[in-house]
Amino acid sequence: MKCVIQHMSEGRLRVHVGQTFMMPGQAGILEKYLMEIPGVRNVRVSERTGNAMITHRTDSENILHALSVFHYEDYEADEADISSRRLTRDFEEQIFWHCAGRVFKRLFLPLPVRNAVTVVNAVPYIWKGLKTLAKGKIEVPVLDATTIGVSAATGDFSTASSIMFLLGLSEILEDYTHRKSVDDLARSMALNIDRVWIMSASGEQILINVNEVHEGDIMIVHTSNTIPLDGVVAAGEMTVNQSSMTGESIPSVKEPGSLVYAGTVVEEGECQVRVTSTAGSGRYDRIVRMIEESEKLKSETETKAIHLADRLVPYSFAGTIVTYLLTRNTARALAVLMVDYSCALKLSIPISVLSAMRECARHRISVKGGQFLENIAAAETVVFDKTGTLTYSRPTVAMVVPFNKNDENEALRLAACLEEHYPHSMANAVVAEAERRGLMHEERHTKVEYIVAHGIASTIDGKKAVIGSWHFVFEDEGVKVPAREKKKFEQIPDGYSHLYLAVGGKLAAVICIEDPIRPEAPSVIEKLRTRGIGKTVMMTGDSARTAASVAALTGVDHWQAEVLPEDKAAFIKSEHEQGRKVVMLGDGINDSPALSEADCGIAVSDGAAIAREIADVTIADENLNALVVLKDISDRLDQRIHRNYRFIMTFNTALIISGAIGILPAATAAWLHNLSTLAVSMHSMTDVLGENEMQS
Amino acid sequence: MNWTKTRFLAYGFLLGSAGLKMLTSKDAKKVYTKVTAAGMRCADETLRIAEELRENVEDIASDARQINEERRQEEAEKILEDAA
Repeated sequence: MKCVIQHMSEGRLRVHVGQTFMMPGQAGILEKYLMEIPGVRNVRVSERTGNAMITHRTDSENILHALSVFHYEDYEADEADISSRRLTRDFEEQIFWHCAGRVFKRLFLPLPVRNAVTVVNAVPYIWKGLKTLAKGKIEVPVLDATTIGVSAATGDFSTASSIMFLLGLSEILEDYTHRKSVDDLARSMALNIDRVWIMSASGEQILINVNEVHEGDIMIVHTSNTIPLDGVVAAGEMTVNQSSMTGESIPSVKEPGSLVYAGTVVEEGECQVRVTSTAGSGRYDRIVRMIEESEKLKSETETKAIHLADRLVPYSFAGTIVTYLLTRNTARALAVLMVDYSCALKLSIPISVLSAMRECARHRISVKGGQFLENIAAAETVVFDKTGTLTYSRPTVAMVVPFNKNDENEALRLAACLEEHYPHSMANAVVAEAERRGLMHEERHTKVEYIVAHGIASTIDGKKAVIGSWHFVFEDEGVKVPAREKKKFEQIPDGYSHLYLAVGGKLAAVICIEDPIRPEAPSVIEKLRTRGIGKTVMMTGDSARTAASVAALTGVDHWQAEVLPEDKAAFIKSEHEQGRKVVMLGDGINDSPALSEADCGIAVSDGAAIAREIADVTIADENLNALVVLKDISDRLDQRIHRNYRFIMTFNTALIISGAIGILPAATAAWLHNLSTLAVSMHSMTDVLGENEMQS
Repeated sequence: MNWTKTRFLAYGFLLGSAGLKMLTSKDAKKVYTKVTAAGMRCADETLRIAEELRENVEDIASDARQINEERRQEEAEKILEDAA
């Protein structure tokens, strides 16, 4: 690919690639390609100028080389990227035409025509104001209508038109921010499943790629699976959490004949589903519609400040009337009216919140609503799950200790056979080890039952097979350690997590799983502490032994082991009673009650789909530092909102007083007010976290 | 006879009949389309220049930051030298 270097400095490279104005999709392809080059920190490709801006850590040599071998044709365009870029381009064009229209009006139209146009433009605003009044509310639209209407009525068309121009600009800004946030949210919620269990013609269950599924195929879904494609239930019964589709949090029951939707999560049960529509972009559009309809976004960004803004409107009117009575001067009274706090607050605060949410998305953190950022900023306690959160979600099998004359590999094969249907991280470890040892298996078991936080039970060749925790296998199922092998049992090292496999009531094997903690965990806990988190707690369903060592290594303030899901939720409730806000991090099915109870539930993206459904925030990053970044963004957002609030109040009060006294003519006061509002809003669209500060 | 008023009446009549037809004819539409296309190209070009400007500003900022970084490095080294 032919490129021209436009600018080169330490860590930043600007390159002109090929042509000006790239074809749709090309910018996205190039961006993705460049991001994958080692050493590259950030890439921005502008399709208008055909330039790629690359910030990098190392030499530019390998980047330049990579560019020279790049061809667009080798790669496929990403639909989501194309639509999101088009959004931005439309926004830029809207702003351009809005300003161009004004310039044209001012320069080319004769005065009487201009005034006529102003009057025509004023009508929608006045109409909206009247409608709001009719509903009995004195809010911002009434304010706008009055200022525009009174200006036009007193013949001050130029003020009226400038007010409308600035209001129009604010509307475009708000609309764009809203759309962009919906788009970002939808993209992060999009499905990432690539393989599906299908019932083959011979009755076997096989795993195939989602793109190879045809309409009419029967797919099999179990507890905690995400349903990959739309379909109709053919057999079985289950409850499905459809909150990502319909917003209802109560699971719906599915029976033969019920419709199921791609992306919803099976809470409990198992079904065979006939596929009705294969993989496509229909889901993305549906998510966008769902987000818009559920008003999730809107309601979450309405923080306390917004309500205050609406309540200030009557005071603005009161102030205007008082000024008029005192000065008998309509112009001055109008100046007071035009400088309203409400529209400034109502514009800048949602924009700040939505902008922060998008910034999080750029750090690969997906936040589902603005008030969660608020809650994180106010949080004093953080509860961590152990497996998959403080430890890697990819534990590995260290060793398999067989009992009762079982063969090690046979036991592992059996365990893998049971565990492969469930996305628990320990299950994945077992399956991975079996694969590594080349142990294939057929599906010899009957219906598999997953018992939350305990283990898996099924029947194999007529005998009951269970695999799970100590509590489940030894206490619940009554399996005993064979007397002869007691010494072998006690010699199993402590440092591992243990999975016990028993067949027909007899212990078959103990699988030792190594669950190393994430290296960044201790420093993350420390950083959280410096950022105001007074209490860090680890709660795990694992044994006290392993929990103790992990707690010591990570440095959490409190820890509890062998905890059931309800206990986690109960703990959070007790924190609430003490008036503390709680953030919860988890990744598994057994974290769902706690995640809902917390003020902000955070799911690690590697974990169970249902945790990601219920959670308020999803972290896609492999690194726990994302949590610190999230806390920083929340804190900074909080500071920004307060700073904006203070600025808006003081600046506008100053304007009002100047207008009332008469230092400032009404038109100037209006201009300054609207301009400051716009400036605050545009500033609120910038990042709260500087690029250089990301490293700390 | 009031010629001014009659003149305006005549103009109005022409506009209403033949004039309107001309303005909404297919040929006129082609002209409008070409003008609009040109206008959009103009918009694109302006926005491109704006984007180019923004990139240049980022270049300058990045270079400026580098200069300051180097200065700070030199200062730090000088202090180390003096102390050693």
